[in-house]
Amino acid sequence: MADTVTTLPGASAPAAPVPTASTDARSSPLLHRAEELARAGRPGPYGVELREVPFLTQFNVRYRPGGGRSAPDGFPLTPGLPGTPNTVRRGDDRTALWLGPDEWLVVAPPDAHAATEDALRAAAEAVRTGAAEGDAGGARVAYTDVSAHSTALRLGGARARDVLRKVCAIDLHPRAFGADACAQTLLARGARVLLVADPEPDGFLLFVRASFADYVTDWLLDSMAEYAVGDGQCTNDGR
Amino acid sequence: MQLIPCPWCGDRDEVEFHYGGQAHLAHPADPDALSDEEWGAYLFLRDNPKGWFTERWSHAAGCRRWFDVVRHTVTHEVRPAPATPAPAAPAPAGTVVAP
Repeated sequence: MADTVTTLPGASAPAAPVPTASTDARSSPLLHRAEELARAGRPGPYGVELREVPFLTQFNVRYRPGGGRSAPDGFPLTPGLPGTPNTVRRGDDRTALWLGPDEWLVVAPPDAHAATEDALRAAAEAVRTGAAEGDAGGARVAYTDVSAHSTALRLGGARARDVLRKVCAIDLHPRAFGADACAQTLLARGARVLLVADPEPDGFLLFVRASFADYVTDWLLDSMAEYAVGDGQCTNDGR
Repeated sequence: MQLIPCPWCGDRDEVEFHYGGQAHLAHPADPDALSDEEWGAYLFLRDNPKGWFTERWSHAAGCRRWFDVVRHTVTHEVRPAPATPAPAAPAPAGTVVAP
């Protein structure tokens, strides 16, 4: 699978071109529930909505800077890799998420797969040859295409935090989980998710393993039910 | 809910972690030179204090990193471990190094 796994240094041969399958032939883990998700949501300033964001480009990046440094500031990718645990760094065309002290996830739109891979290959090559700033020697870098590993769910609307609070143990108050926050945690007792604040508009992205997508969707739909019915406005006044 | 302090992610629910047993165990430098009794002691014998105990945990559902905490085996109070001591000289073969 030379076109899905590329590890540097050592992979001097360029990866084989990705087969260009017809977009219509692709199937996402929650494609069969798209109508159900659309029905379950309630638009408007007091509602909550859930939809799948399929086929996002996702690359896992492992990087250890050289010279005994630990901050990933020198990694030659736009945007840079966030050095603060559980934060996100957003750029125009891609986002870098902190997964571990030497591990990140780079997320881009579905149609930016080739461009992202090219950018990562160039960055890894720069690190390997010592061209990157400060990486005089000893730097280690690898990147892996994990786009098919998980799908993304977008939970949006004023009640999104309330919905997540019922199934998630971490503190989701804006003070603790702000606009640049992400966290890997357990949702609904057992599903491992990557939770990312998605501030525009207010909401969350949940990266869920494909085989857990139906399970997490069931929990979220159940959690959403009380906010997604009726025509009256819910307010926070009494809470 | 028991909270465990991950050095990267902060306090998280206990169910996100895996237990790794006693910390600071040194693997014998030359396992072939050990007697069966010494090897058995290395594999199976652990400290069992009533009180503070340094142990390994893995943030399995989070950042997937291993780290040390000290836990009180009576009250289950958990605190971050002090900074990891510098690697000491290799322990004599077959000994279990106490924290």
